[in-house]
Amino acid sequence: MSKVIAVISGKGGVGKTTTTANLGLGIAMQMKQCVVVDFDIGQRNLDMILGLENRVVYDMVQVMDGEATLEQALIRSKANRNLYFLPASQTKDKSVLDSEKISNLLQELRKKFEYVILDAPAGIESGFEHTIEFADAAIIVVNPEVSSIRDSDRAIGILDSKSQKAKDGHEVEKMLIINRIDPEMVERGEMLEADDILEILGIELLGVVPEDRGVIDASNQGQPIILNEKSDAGKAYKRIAKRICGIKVAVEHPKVRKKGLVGKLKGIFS
Amino acid sequence: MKCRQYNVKVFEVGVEDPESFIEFIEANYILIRNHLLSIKGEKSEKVISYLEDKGLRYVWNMELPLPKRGVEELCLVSPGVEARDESRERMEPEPESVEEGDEEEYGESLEALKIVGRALRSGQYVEHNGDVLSTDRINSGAKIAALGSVVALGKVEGDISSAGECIIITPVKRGNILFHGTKIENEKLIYPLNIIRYRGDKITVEAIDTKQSKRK
Repeated sequence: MSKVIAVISGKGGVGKTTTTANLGLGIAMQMKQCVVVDFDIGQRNLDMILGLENRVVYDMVQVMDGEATLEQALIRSKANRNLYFLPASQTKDKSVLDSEKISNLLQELRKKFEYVILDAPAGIESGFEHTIEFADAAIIVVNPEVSSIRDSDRAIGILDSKSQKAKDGHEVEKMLIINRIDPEMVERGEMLEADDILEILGIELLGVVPEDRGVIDASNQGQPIILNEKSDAGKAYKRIAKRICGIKVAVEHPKVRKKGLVGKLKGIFS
Repeated sequence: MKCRQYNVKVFEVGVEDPESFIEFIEANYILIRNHLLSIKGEKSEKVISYLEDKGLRYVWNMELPLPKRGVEELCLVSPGVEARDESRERMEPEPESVEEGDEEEYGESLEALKIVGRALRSGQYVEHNGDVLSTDRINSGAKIAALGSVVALGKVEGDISSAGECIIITPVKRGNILFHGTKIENEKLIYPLNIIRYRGDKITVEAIDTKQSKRK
């Protein structure tokens, strides 16, 4: 049975698109047929992070309007043959979306894929509402900072009141990813701990992704960090993808790495 | 001759300039809409027209036989703090959580106690013409505005406005607590459970349990 998962955050710049790309690949690595859909109409980014920028010919709006078939618009990932990508339109804006067209598109995607991952636009405007409208579940991405948490809290409130599942009287499954946590800052009391965030948002923790400088370079290269075996963030995304696929994996909280003499000296002079 | 006696709630406010006055009334409308406004200061067509549009009842520069209680505490609330965001969705009333109370006890104008049994998330807004009991968290960006008292037993990081007898609340680090239009400084809410109420002319903050009334 197919599952539609919206990746949301409320606030922009928290790593939502990066998370979508990595989880899409992570799910595909578990031998599941997965499609990631860029719902950020007019501000397409997911294609670049997946390294598929130069293969975009048709987009989801053209599919919804009958100008292209779904097969024509879907792009198969080079990194994993189980992953497909449906791009957003870069030349149109969010006003082109309508509920009926989205519902039809998602029904088609449900027939082909076990996991349909929707990358929501930032904010809580119409584009966001359309992304969550027909989702079975939502992954909420937060950074450990108060503004991100408040915006996510707001987005969860809207999810609980405006998604079709909520309107039908069912609860939308909600899972939290805490992204870019820095264990050293947490230890110094300069950053919120995972427990504090969970207490405020009151939803299930799906995983914690540590701050990792390699993520930016990976995104720039179109090679999601999950492909890097040595990266801590990549390992975290792998564990999260397994959990989404129903595999029991314990949540690992990033720990402070013990520094050697050179590291300590660098810390003093940095 | 038939006579009737009524009690009227009066909200006294001064006009410094029409714009800030209108901003203030907008921000506090829920709390003062059922009051008689006693306005002090220079009359202005803009303000009169605004009050008429809003359907607010008022007297201007009239000496009313008011007790001194509360007059000094009624101060302007920063509109930035109190401004209502109409785009926010209202929290749907929870029929199962509203218990019927004895309205006679609260007076004819107040509605029965409303119980909010789940966490209020950012953007959710409970407006009630009576007392409110919140048993869970009130997150940053959420708000309760009540004409009656408010009892908040969970962690409060959002905003609470009450024009009732009291506010009973846990310690607050963030969020704005307004009692009869007066902002209560969060530093004063130091007890495990605080009660904010009038003692004579002054608003006081005390521990709810007399054994804990000594400050830590």
